[in-house]
Amino acid sequence: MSRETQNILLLLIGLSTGLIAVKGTYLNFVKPALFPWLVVAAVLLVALAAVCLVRDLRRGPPSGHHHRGLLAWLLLIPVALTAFVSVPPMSAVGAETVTAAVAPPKRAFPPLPADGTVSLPEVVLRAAADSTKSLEGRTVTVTGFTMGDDLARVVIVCCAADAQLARIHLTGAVGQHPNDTWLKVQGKVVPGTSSPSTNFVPTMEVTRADPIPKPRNTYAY
Amino acid sequence: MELLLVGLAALALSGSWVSGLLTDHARLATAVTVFCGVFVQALPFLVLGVVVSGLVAAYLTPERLARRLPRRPALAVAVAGVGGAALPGCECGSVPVARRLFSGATAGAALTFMLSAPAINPVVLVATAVAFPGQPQMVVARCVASLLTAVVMGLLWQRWGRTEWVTRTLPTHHDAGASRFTVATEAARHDFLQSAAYLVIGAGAAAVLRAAVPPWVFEHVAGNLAVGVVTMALLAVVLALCSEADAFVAASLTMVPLVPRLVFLVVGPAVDVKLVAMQAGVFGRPFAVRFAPVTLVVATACATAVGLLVLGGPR
Repeated sequence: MSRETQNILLLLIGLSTGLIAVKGTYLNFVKPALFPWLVVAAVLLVALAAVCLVRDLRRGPPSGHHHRGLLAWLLLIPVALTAFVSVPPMSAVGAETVTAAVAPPKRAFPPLPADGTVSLPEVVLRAAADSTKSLEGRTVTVTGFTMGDDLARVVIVCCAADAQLARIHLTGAVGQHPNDTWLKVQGKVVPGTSSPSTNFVPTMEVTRADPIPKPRNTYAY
Repeated sequence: MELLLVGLAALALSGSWVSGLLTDHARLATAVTVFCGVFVQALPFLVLGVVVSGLVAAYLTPERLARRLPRRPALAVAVAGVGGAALPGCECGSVPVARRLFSGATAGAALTFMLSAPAINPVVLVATAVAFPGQPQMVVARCVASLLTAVVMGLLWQRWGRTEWVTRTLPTHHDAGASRFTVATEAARHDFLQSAAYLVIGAGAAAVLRAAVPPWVFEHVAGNLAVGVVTMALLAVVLALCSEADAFVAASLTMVPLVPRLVFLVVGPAVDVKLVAMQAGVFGRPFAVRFAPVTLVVATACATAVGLLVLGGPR
């Protein structure tokens, strides 16, 4: 591969990184917190490519280098996947590889927010491990997608490679919804339903369930 | 150049066809998403790494580093291990930096730095503390076991390592009058192209394995300590998680006792499929086929020993 081609590849990697950051598709793969770092990486790569391209144009490529860089062609794969293909976020099926079966240690959680809006994974955590029992008797609002009789969210910690599935079993006034419908659900978690026998999937007695449009960012953190 | 244009045009035209393929095949989509996740997550850290390696090439030659480090090799390795805490980032960035620092006299210290930097830097330790609330001994155990692994590997290299295993040479700058800026940008360019290509291979391997590891693997590690340790060590190798994320994954594997989970945290930043691919690319294949298996054994042994001491018996 010629030096010129390598420099163009460098430029393309930088541009495609900038593209997914600006378009927001980076949210399919990583957390929002990575945004500034992606922008910095994109700017640095484009600048580096520009410096090398301009230098080679002005002075000619440096002599005496051998080019064994066939592998650099591999960089076209991430460029293609980020710039030309729309790669979906991690699906519920792909995330369901890890399930907990032993109680996490109990600890005291901070009080619930006043309006009772909690993320789905937090409800699962509080139901399993909150020593203050903050969920008992409280009506909470969670969002997620339907999966059989359950409401689920794909949780990522860092990137899509560590995706896990968090789910809550729904009973009561849920209504009929096809799989993968996004719902905003109001209800109370039934005490004692988060146990080893249920694989720590709590049950929620639903008072109200409204379909909502699929959010732009489908992950919970 | 023409080839690149043809390739780009072909990719642009086939883009929507591939997108369709992904909506129809859930497993393929999972693998591709994991690939993009690993690559996009690692990219900023890799860029940070090559910026540092460019600066190292311009300002800190191995000869200069050798003069700064303590004379006694064992002491130099220990200093490098603790010095790793100064580079906040994950493992992808530290491979090219270590290659720049690597030379006959500083070899052991450079490898120790490569292993300790992603494992014991403040960002990773804070992430571990957040992932294991109320269990500070996990942070201590991780820090001690990772540092021990890095130092042991550095000392092993001082004793038995051979420089001829490192077959990949860095391009030397012929132009003696080149400015520091030229040296730095040339080094960063070279290191990025090389490391990123191997990151693609490693992310691909992680994606295939993630799509292929069946969920029941996790259900069989609870009972026996030895089985748990070996399974979690191998899992760390195939999952290739970023060292800033692995603590949260380990914390979620609540059915696994603490010691095997510590093994997972110590092995992951030291040796996994993407790192082996990157080391093969940056140092050379003869190096990687020797270094990676020994690191795996040393890391597993250190983590098990420290785990049993600090965390107590299998719980």
